[in-house]
Amino acid sequence: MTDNLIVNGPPEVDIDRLMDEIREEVAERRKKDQGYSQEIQEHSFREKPNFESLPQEGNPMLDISSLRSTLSFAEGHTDVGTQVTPMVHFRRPIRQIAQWIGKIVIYLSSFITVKQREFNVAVIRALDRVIEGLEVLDTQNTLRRNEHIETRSTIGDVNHQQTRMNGTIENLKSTIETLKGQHVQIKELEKTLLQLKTGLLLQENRLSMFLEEARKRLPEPFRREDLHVMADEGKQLLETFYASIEDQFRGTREDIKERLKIYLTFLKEAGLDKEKTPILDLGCGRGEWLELAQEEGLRARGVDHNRVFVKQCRDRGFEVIESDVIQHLRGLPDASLGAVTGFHIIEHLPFEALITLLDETVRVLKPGGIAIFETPNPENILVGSCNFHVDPSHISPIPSSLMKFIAEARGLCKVRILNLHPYPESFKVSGSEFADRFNEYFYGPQDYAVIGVKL
Amino acid sequence: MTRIAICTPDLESGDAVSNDAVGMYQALTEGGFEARLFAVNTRITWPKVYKPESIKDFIKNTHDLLLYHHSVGWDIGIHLLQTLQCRKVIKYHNVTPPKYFAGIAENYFIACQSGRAQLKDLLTIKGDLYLADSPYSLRELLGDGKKGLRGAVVPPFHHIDRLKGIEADDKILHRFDDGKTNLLMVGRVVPNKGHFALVDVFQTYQCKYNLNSRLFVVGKEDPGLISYTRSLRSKVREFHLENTVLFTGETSDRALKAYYSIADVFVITSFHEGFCVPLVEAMSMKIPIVAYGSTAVPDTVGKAGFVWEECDPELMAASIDRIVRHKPLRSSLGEMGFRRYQKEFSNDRIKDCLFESLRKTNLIE
Repeated sequence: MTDNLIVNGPPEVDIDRLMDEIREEVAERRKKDQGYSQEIQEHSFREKPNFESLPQEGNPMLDISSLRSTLSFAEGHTDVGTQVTPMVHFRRPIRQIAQWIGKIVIYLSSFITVKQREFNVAVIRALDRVIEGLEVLDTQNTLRRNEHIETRSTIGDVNHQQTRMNGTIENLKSTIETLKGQHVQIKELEKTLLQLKTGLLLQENRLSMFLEEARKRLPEPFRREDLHVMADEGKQLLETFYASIEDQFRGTREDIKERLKIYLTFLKEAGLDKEKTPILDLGCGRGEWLELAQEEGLRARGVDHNRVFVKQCRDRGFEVIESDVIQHLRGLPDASLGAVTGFHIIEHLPFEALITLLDETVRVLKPGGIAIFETPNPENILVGSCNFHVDPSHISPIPSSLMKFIAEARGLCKVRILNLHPYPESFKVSGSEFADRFNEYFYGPQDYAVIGVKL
Repeated sequence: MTRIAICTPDLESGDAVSNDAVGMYQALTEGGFEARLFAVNTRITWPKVYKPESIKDFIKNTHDLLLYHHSVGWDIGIHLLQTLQCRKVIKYHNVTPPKYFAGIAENYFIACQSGRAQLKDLLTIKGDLYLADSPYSLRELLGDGKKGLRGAVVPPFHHIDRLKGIEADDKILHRFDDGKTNLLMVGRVVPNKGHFALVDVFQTYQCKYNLNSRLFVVGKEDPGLISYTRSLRSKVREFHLENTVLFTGETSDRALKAYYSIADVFVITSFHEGFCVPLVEAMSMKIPIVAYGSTAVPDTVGKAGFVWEECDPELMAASIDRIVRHKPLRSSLGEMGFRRYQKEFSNDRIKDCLFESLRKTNLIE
């Protein structure tokens, strides 16, 4: 039917006609559903356990013995019109005359009564068969009744079992909910276990190094250099702890990747492709940016001094160098990189180191290369007064105007500030100019990026 | 040279009003006009957005043009319209009636109430031209047209060209390539979008026609509307549909494209729409549409899909079934939608429509 409504050639459908058709179809279906539901209701009413309504044995409508006796009476009268009655109430002479007349009448009527007798016999035989059939039906009826009673009892059992199964299903549902909760807990435990494993590995490394140093030097006392090596190891004891802080406060891997996607546009804008890379990500942390760059088909490598992060990145197959970022930059040749990036690292550096970092960045970038540094935005009062200090390794917040000035002063060109991550709209108040200003100070961008190119 | 200031309270990527404002900016600058975007809050990185305070430095001549987009209550916008000495065009995107937020989110209720109240102010300003996304919105703004104000319908610019140019998210394509029938609804999870009715439609379809089906509800969930989203999810659980009604939340463009790519039918039961860009997205992707024809929905879909006057789950479920079972019908409806998109709603067509409206009223040469 529908196919007829599609005109050949350019596909065109008569929507109105089709909708009328559907309307009719639904009306029809509703009618049917209504009928069906009525039938169901009636059926269920009939099906209610009511043993009184069951057919009873000895039903008067099916009184077979009474039928038999009536038939037997009829059988006794089949030979109608064959004999003259004794006529005992007449006196003898009259009785003889009457019997004689009776015989003549019987003889004359025998032409009619012979057919009547044949009819009587045939009807009685037929009725005999019918009664036999009724006897069979009666027996079957009794059997069915017994079966019916048995079925009712089975239905009762099934209902009982269904109630029990409903209970079991409820129990299973609650078990599934508990399992879901446990699954979340297991995921959390797995995460903690992974962190512990990494920490343990580092402890083992440090212990081996310590023993190695001790073995070399003993029985001589520790030299100044040995103590320095050990002190440096002690400093890195905090690395695992710092990685935990990052996990707790920085956000999930997916969140961070989503946030970093914005920079892909800038890389494209700068004409960065596979040939013009590599990208060097300073302080690459858990490697979200490296992963994103790889997904985009760009070559990227990272550098981080935190061994926990370095191990995590290497486990994921990323190229990461364990080193101090400035030390690493100093070791690179001039004009060797397409992009230098650093997300939340510049606020970890003393001012002099920040200047060196920018100088080295400009030196190692190829002409046309791009530098991107993201950092917390202290112009947001909540960030400046509180959130900045959630990371104990932060040194001091850098206002965007100062950062732009520094970047330009150290040789980056086309420097711009990109405000990022304001609070969600639901946090904001509205209704006045004052409210707008309040929103800007408290719920404005929480981070910003300084972006510049080397000409 | 006429300068054109395009003004709206917020500019965010992916938002329909922002896409329209940015689309107008592109069209006008390509047309050789000097245009600028002005907004209080912005998250977009391109083009440059200026603060409304600086608008007076840009609009200096009485021949310059202020193009104001109205979709929520915004006192600054009304103030600019009242005080700036220039020619004014008001683009009305419709404001959701506040009743949908009553008892759910007080701040949205107030914002919509004030947006509706400001419609009168928009008319008393006597703008040089009133534009609306749809005939429905234009009627709502200008009434019977007896006020002598000039009006025209210009559909909103959209991001479909960009959506067509990107690759669909592979993970989603592979994950849901399992032979199930996929129904799709795209739009923010807000009360006026009629999600409860949508769940009724899906439940009817699934029970009566096709158990091997699922529904994707693609759209941002607003933390400010938590009571709405909670009760919606609880309804889904009550119907035991939690495994077949999938709420994706806000998605990337690649993911959105993937959901359109796997959809068999686009279903919408929204109670209030000023235009409904997702309908145009569905048409551009050749997805057949089954819709409840409230407000501007019939204007947007026209005769290119099933648009029912009543929000009847039985009728809508039967329509979905008809489309799913009859492949020729499905592809015909897809083609009809696509032709309608090309003819009425492509960005080029919208650009022509905008310029034609501005020229007719001598606002540009």
